[in-house]
Amino acid sequence: MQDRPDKATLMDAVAEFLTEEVRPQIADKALSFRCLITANLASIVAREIRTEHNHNAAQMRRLSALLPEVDLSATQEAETTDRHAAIRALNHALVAKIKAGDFDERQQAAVWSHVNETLREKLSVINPRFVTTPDIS
Amino acid sequence: MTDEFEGLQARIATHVARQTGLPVQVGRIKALIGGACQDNLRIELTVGGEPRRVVLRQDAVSSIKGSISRATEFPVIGAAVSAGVATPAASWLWDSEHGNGYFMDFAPGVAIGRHIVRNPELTQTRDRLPDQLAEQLARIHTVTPQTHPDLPIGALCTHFDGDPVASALRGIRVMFEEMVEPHPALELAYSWLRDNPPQVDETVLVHGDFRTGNFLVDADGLNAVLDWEFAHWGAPEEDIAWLCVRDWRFGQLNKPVGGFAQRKDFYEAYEQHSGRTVRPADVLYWEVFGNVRWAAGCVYQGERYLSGAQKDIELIAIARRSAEMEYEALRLIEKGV
Repeated sequence: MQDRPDKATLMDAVAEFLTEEVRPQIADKALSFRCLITANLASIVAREIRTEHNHNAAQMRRLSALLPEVDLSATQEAETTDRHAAIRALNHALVAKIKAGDFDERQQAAVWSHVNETLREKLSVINPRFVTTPDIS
Repeated sequence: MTDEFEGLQARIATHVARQTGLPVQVGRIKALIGGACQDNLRIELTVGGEPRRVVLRQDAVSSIKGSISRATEFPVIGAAVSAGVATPAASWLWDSEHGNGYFMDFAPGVAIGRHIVRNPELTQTRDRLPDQLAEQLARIHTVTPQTHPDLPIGALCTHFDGDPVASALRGIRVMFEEMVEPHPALELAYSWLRDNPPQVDETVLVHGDFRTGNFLVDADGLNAVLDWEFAHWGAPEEDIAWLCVRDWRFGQLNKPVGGFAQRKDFYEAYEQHSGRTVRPADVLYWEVFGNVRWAAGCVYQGERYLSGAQKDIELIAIARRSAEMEYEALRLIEKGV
């Protein structure tokens, strides 16, 4: 474990520096836009660091409930604390089952609900301003 | 005039002189912003003593899946111009050592999406756009495999087999093959598209990227339709739906047509200009398809960076935005007509 400041705070500092100090100095419009994009990437990483643990645990819990038959022992070795290998393996299994049409109607509703929930979690990190309420024309 | 264009100036002069049989002088060259799949240069030149301002459009070092080459785009633009579409004519097709290219007449105006949907000076333009764009789209859709059997295009990302829906579904599978990671939302959307095919009455030239950001406008309205790199044979509703895809509304979510108009107004204008009937359920189908296509496109843009083909920060930044289009595709399916 590193000393203070933590990694999310460091990424916040990068984003703030690019937005507040670098961008106002850039006259070239295209470069200024790319500076904004880069600052936004730093903010995304900061949000990901803060939410990753909980989001991955929730995703893992839902996927395991939908796919109890998937054996995850092969992913143990490649595993990180945030269970990326297991989640990836479960998502491969989920895609294969959707393609094969192997979920019954009740299960399908659960799959849709899980996929939507996962997208909402991703969106809260990559673009918190993305409107997820259904009243869009 | 920077050094990077020095050799180019002479090569352009030689090529255009050969094409026209006239003496050619090439002056100022300026790079234009805004092509992710091709490089556009604005060029001042004189041809037989006449000053001309043209844009040289060349293949980029890497391109998005489904994008056609400049050599294929060239006859598509020819067909569109003869159908009366307001698009800059292309000439002097050029097979240079840097890839294919051609020259088109410079068209003035702005194309930036955020500007078009918000700028107060463009209020009148936004009022006129639904009718003007519907008219252009109706003209594009008069080009068919029957009227232009030799046009060298297929379906999006695949060959055209005579069935717009089957070809589109096959094209999606080609796009999905490029994805390194599983995307369950896209598989759910694909299953829906496969199980709910619309009735398609005819096959037409689909512009393929008919959306806010690809039209030049000024305070009086539409100047030109641009960017034919995704042209393909397909269903007319595919273009109508693409203009409505959420990401092209540039934040104006409740103006579903391009961020500037309501569906009813645009559908009615298209019906009037084309003589076709627009069925909202069909537009919904192609709008789900459009979101799936753009989601896969975002993933692919990221892979262009990750492969080392093009180290552009905008490409890697767009990859994760796939989740936005995935969410929208599922939302549309759940909402229905």
